Amino acid sequence: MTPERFAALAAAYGGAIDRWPADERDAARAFREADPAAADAILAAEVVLDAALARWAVPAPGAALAGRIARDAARRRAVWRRGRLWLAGLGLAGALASGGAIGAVLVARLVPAGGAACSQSLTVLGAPVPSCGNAANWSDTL
Amino acid sequence: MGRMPTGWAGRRGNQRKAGTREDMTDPDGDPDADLLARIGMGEEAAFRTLMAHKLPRVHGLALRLLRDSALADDVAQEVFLRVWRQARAWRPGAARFDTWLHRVALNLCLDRLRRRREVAVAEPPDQVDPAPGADFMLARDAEARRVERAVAALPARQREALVMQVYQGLSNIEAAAALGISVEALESLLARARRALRQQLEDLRP
Repeated sequence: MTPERFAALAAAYGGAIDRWPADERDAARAFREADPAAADAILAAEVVLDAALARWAVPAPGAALAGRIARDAARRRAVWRRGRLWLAGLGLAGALASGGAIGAVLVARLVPAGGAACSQSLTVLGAPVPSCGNAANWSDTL
Repeated sequence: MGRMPTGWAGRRGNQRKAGTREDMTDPDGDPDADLLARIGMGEEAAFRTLMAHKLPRVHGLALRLLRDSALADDVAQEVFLRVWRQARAWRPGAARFDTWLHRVALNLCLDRLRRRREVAVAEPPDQVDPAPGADFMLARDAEARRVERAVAALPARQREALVMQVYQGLSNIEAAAALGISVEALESLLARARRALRQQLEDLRP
């Protein structure tokens, strides 16, 4: 490691080599061992700044905050589950309704007007079947 | 929130920039992955455990960036509700959860700061330092407020970089990912921030 790189790392990450990028720590330690006076001169100013920055501590969040978040999360999940049940119910109702509607449309389209389709050409008595769907002609065969 | 965090299914971002040094962290070994899987299955105890580990850090980040405890509470709450809602979609390996957490918290803080600027509410005036030497605790408080003001006076990106690296203890890659920048850019921001702070705080000796 060059002195310039050592100084650049100190300027960015502070005076503690342990907090420098992991892939440069070994080289930095080797540089320091090789020339402790030069290395410590570079680190000294940063150590002072590190100590100053450490004075700004912030209070920990109150215990009430964690409880509030947990309760809110549980409440939201309950609302979400109820919503999911409602959606499932609506989906089922929709499927049933659309199935019924499709069935009705199919019956209306596939069944000819006036009665069922004729599949036989003779009646059980051997008489020829009159033209299908013409109920008026059935009396002629009796 | 403008930038989407990575780590969630279908959301891959720019956490790694070309040409940067590789991280020392192994995303495959994310220590929070198991906890997240349990949270994804709706286990409230796992959620509470995660909060016990992470809430102080998230809250501290918000407090340092916003300097308002009520807003910091709001941000922390929003961050963890997102975790609770989205844990099921977490995919280990895309990004460390802790990095994602910091990025979400940072973005929410930036949203709050933007809103504060938009409504043109002036920042609360800094409190007047107590008389120096009144007692040890007061002096320490005054020094802490000096540091706080000096950090707050930094340009926004320098402040964010410094808070991530110094106070949140993120590695260089994690901090760069949280900020959405390269490691080189992070180093530049940190160096400029520290240079400014050295000038302002040089009389604060250990």
